[in-house]
Order: sequence, then C-alpha cells, then structure tokens
Amino acid sequence: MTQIQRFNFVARKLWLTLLLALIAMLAGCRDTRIHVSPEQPQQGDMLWIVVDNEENDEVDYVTVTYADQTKIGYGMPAYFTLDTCKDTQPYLTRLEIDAVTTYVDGATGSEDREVDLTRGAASTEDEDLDYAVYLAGTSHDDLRDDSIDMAEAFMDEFDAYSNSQYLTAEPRFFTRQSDTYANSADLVIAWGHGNHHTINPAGETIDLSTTGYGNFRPCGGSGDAEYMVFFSCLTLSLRDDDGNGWRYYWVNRIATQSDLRPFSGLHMALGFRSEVRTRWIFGTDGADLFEEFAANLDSGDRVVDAWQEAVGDELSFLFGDNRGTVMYLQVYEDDTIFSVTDDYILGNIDYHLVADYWE
Amino acid sequence: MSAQPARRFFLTGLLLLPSLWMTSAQAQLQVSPEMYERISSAASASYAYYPADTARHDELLRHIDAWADARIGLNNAREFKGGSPQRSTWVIERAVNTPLFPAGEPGRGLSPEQPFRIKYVKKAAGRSFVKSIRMPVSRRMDEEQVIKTGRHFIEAAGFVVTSEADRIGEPMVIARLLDVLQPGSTKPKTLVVLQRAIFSRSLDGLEVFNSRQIVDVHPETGEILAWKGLDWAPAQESGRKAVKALPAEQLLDAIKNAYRDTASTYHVTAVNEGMYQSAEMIFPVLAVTVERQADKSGQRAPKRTLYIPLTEIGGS
Repeated sequence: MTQIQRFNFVARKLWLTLLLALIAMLAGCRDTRIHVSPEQPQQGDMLWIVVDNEENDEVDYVTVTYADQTKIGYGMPAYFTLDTCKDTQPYLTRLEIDAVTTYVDGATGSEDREVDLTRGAASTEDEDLDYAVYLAGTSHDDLRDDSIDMAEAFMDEFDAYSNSQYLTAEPRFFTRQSDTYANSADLVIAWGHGNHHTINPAGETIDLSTTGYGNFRPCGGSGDAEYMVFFSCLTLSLRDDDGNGWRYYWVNRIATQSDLRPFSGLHMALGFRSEVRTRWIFGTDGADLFEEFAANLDSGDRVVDAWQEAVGDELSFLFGDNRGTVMYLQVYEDDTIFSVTDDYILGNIDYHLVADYWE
Repeated sequence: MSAQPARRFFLTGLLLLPSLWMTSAQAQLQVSPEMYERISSAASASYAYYPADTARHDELLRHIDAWADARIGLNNAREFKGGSPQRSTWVIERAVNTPLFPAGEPGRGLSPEQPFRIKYVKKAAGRSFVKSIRMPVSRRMDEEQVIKTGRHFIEAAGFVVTSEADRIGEPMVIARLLDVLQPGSTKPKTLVVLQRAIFSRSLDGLEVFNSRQIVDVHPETGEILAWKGLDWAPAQESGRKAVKALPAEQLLDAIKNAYRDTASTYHVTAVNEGMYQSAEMIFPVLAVTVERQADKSGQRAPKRTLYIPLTEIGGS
C-alpha cells in the first residue's frame, strides 16, 4: 500500500468514526420521555399517557404499548388515554408502558415505564379531617334515642376531627350516593340493627359486601373514608356465611376482583361480631362507650386499641354479647387517628385483612 | 357505666317514682310467667343500700395516683384534657419496657422493637393504667393463672378496699385475639394479644353490676399490660340501711314505662337482682334484659338491660 493509499484509508476510517460518533451523539439527544397524568395514578383513574421527545421535529412517529394495546402517535407530544376503572375494564394492578420512537432518519429510540395502580396516595384525598354521624332512623324506636345519646357523647368529647354530617341514616348514604355521604368523611359512625356483613339503620337492609369505600371509589375520584364504625349486631361477624369465609364479604380476591367490596381503600371497619347489649339507668352505657372511644382517639391511641379498650371498659361481656371487633389491613395496625397513610387494593402486597376481636 | 352526681340521681329518682304508678296501654312489652315469677321473687326480699365512703375512696384514689406517678412520672408525661372536666389523660413514651409483675417481683418481660406508650387516665369512674405493647403470640396462659395473676396484682397494690360484706367477686377471663391470614396462605392463624381478667364485686352477696377491676396479662410473659379500677368506691358500712323491695307491680310498671312510646314488641328475657354504684350510693337494682321481637328482615336489634331501683332510697 502506497503512502497515499495508506493516508486515504486512515482518513476514511477517521471520517467513519467521526460520523458514527456524531450519530451516537445525536441519538443521545433524542430522549423519549413518558409522562402520566395523574402523576401518581391509581386504579380507577382516566389515565393520560404523554410521550414526548427532546427533538420533536426529528420524530416520525411513536409506537406505544400498554395494557395489551398498541397505538401509534404521529406528531409529538403524542397523547394516549386509558380508562383504568375496573367497572368497565379488566382489573389492572400495574401498567407497563413501552414507547418506541422512530425518527425521520430511520433511527429508533425506546423508553419504558412501570406504574403501580394499587396504591392510592393519601395526598390525593381531601385534606380536611372530618367525621360523619348517621343516626338510627325513627322506625327503630328501640335504638333511635340511644343513638342520639351515643352520637352526642362522641361529639362532645372528640376534638381531632371536625363534624361534617349529623344525619338520620339512609341506605343511599352507603350505596348510590356514598360519594356525598359515607365515603366523604374520614371517619363514619352508623347505628342500626344488623347481621353478618349487613346493617339496617332505618328499615332497609344494606348489604355492605356490595359497597365500596376509600380512595379507589368512585372510579376517577378519591373517596375519603378510612374508618367506619358500625354500632349494630353481628355486622362484623367472623363466622362463615353462605359457604364463604368472613373475608369474602369485606375484601376482594382474584375471583371477585371486579366486584365492589368495602375495603376499596378503607383502612378499618369497627363494630361487633356478636349481638350488642347496652345497659340503661341514668343513661346508656353506649354513651360511655363512645365518650371513651373519642377520648382514646384524641389521646393518640392506636385506632384499633381505642375501640377495643372502650368496648372492654364500658360494655358488659356477659351472655356472649358486645364482642368488639376491628377488621383492618395489617399495614394500618399501628395507625392513630392522626396517621396519614396511603390506601391499597387487591394486587398490592399490603392488601390483606386481619381481625382483632374480643373472644 | 360511669358514676353520676347525687343531684342528678335524685332528680332522676323523683322522675322515676311517679312512673311506677303509671299503667301503660301502648307498651308492647311481654313478660312471661317465668320472668314475672323472678320479678315477684325479687320484690318479696329485703335489701340494703349504702352510702359510698367518699373519704376512703378519695384516699384510695390518691394512693393509686401515687403508684402511677412512681411508674411514669406524671409531671414528665403529656397531659390531655378531655371534654369532661373530670377526665385527664397522661401519656408518656418509653423505649425500654420495665415489666410489671403482680408483687413487683423481677422477671423477664417483653422487649418491644419500637417505643411504646404508657397511658394513665383519671376519670369520674376511676383510674386506668395501660401499656400499649402489642406483641401477640400463639400461646395462651391457663385461665386460672390469669385470674391468680390479676388478683395478686390488685391485692398487692392495694387497689381495692374489701371487707366481709364487700368483696372481690366472681372473675371472668376473656382474650383479645387476632385472626391473621398471611398472603399466599389459605389457613388463618389465631394469635393472642392479651388475656383480661375482669373481677366483679360482691356486696351483701349481690353483684354490683358496674363495679369492676380489670387486669390485662401478656399470655407469654405473664406481665401486667394494663390495670383499670372502675366504679368501685368502698361502701360506708356504718351507713347501711335495710329496706324492703318495692312491690312487684310497681317494678313491672317501671319496666313497661320504659317502653310506653314504642310501636314494636319486646320481651323480657332475663331478670337478676344486684346492686349499682353511683357517685354517692350503692343501691339494689333489678337488672331486666329486654329484647325486641325479631322481624322478617333477619336483622338483630341491640338488646337492653334496664337497671330498675329495687327499693326506695331513704325509705324503710
């Protein structure tokens, strides 16, 4: 090889190297980004997926894959939507988003992102700390006046939250209008007759296993309810019912994942697994129960302990009655009324239900 | 149930007395022959009532407060004032557990990984001392041992004043349990959080329904997790007054009167004699349990036990 030939060879090599380096450098500037809105999405949200690039003018199109769908966007930023509500869509727990950007010069770049949909961030809920009180209806003449006494004892003592509702209970508060009622307050207390996973506050029985409370209801919203107290017989029964274990009625499992269940972000259900019996002389010991419960909450007791200690101190355990029970996701075991914690649904590692109960 | 001021008691008594003579046509209250017989039997007996010995009670409460202060230092604790002026709560956090055993004897206690709270409450009904240590275990302590531990603790600490007539009565043991189902498992596990001994009170052989001493015991270490003394003021035995019971029909009228404005049907399902402590008096009552007749909804209504004064107070 002559000197000139050698020089041309080296020059071509250098030129090629520089060209490759230039292409590599340009490719590094072609940064695909995936944004989601809401920024912390949860199942139920109408999710916006936005694919963007630092060099939008050089993008030909972007191919995005998510939730078993593949879509193409022309022009950047590219927008895609996904309804994650389990009422109308498959039950989604995680969303893997893959974006492949094809540039006008044929180069491609890719980006992926994974989003957990089973955690409802506390920050998305209403910041007010409030409680709602739903009295027994006048059709329950045995309970109506006592429920007023109990509610007033609680309200006189409880300072940590503000009272948002003081109403005679109606079924719609727990069902079709729960957004405005039972799911609108952080703490809800209701009185009524009851049985396994049901409550009858005013003449009509509510099957609680067909209701849902917490951050994940309604779809696209952020329900507030963390703690729900049911002063009613047997509502938190731990027996099997109709061939199903008690958890079947309160939390979702794979087979029921598309159904409603009370623990749709709810932290605790408090009440009784047995019949309830109050004692009356100068007033009802139910009022003492609620005063004690309120005082325990205010002084920072764990919510579980606040209820169970109040039940154990103020009500009688004779005849197998008044077996206080608290159902809760174990992650909330040490929570006080002042704790700020996220909500969870089926698919999240923290979604498993424990019952604390008087034997 | 918390003790009430004397004025409220006597005003309520004044309201109640006229009602004993009212007949009620609207009340749908059904009393079976057996229950009527129980009421009649109670009405044929004689009873006694006692003033509460408030001086000795105050001394006892000071003793208990000093005991609590020695353990947690109330001046260093955070105080919460309740809605009721008679209620105060002190809370202190501890990193290391000093286990509490019945007679102060040393022993191996729980070692919580996290700091825990100790709470002391003064309220009109009495006092409570609670260590919020939650370390559930799979084993249980023998119930007799729970009772023995609890009783030993109460007596050693001097938390109750007793006499021949006024004694610690029948205990009940109840456990607080957890039903836990670990992820991936199909079989739930039962754990024991604590075992509670509830000591009743017997005065003249009758249970004082609202007086109780409560001791919570950890099932593994046997240490005391909580103590509560509620509605248990010593009886002033020198002030004992023997009285005859009110007539059965008056007692029955009092029961019916409680249900005169109801539209549903109720049944008396249990009748027991006993006593009740208010702030000033310990007096005989008839405990009458009433249940609402079941309807087609399948929903259960809460039961209610009425405490009907068995005698006139101040009479003979």
